Amino acid sequence: MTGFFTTDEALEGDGWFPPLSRVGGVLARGVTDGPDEDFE
Amino acid sequence: MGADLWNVAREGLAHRSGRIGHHSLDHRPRRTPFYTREIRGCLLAWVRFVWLVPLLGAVLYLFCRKRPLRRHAACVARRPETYRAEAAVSGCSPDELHNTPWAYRPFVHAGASRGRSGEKALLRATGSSRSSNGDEAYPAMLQAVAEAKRTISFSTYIFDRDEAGLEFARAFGDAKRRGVEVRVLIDAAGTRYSFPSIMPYAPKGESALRPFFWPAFALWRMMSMNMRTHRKILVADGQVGFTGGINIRKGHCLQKNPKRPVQDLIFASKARGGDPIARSVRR
Repeated sequence: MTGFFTTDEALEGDGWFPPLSRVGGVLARGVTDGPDEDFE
Repeated sequence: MGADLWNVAREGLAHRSGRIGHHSLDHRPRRTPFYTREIRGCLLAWVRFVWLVPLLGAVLYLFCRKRPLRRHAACVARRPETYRAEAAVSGCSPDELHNTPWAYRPFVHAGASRGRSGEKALLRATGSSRSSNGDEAYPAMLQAVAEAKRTISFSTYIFDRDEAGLEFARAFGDAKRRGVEVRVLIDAAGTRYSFPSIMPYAPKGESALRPFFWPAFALWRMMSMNMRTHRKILVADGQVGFTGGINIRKGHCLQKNPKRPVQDLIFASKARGGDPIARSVRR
């Protein structure tokens, strides 16, 4: 996203976003947060 | 108020340039205008002006720069090619949530009030690990770069031109030469933590290295001086992800006894599969 903001280049395709499947046993979660965005 | 300010400024300049002193040579009694009662209003106007300057700057920042930038960012985010809606991945089952350790439960529902769900649900992953300094993290990151076959995207705030930074620059250059698509985004202010900067060492054509917002002292660009990216992200082949607080500088390599040692965290998800960290990081 920041890269697109800077370069105006969209990263697309399986090279950048290959299909993923659900595996594993460790609990994890990605939460988007930052100065302009709060997850609360 | 504007006329008052101008009067005071004009009288002040005349006083400094000696014009008032010159007039005093004619021996006519004359009082310096700064000490007259009439000028008191002008001084009050100056005081008001000085008081309002910080407020004025904030208003200018708000309306002249920050809002347009946010509008631009919002437009970028709305473009379909920049926001890939992946197939919904179901979160943990009710049984799994029931068995979730107590310490993790606040994260299960974090952000739920904003309707975030699906791929950002709490998932079970594998291969996630944590490093607390560059001695542990850098070799793993460099290995991921060396093993990448198709793509590497990297973003950081500080990228020093030192032992650690040059090693990464070389690794990105090697990857580029063997046909890997490399995208490196460094905060422009972050490149100035070392002198000389890493930018001349890694030209744009070599590793697709791009700076984020050059800080400038020109008035029309000062508004963006504080627009910095502090994201530290490395994704190789869209499957191996690193994110955390570690920049690229020798100070994170504690075993090398740096002059300014820094300890920070970075999380790696090395699983060749549906790791939720890799899934989130590569976005």
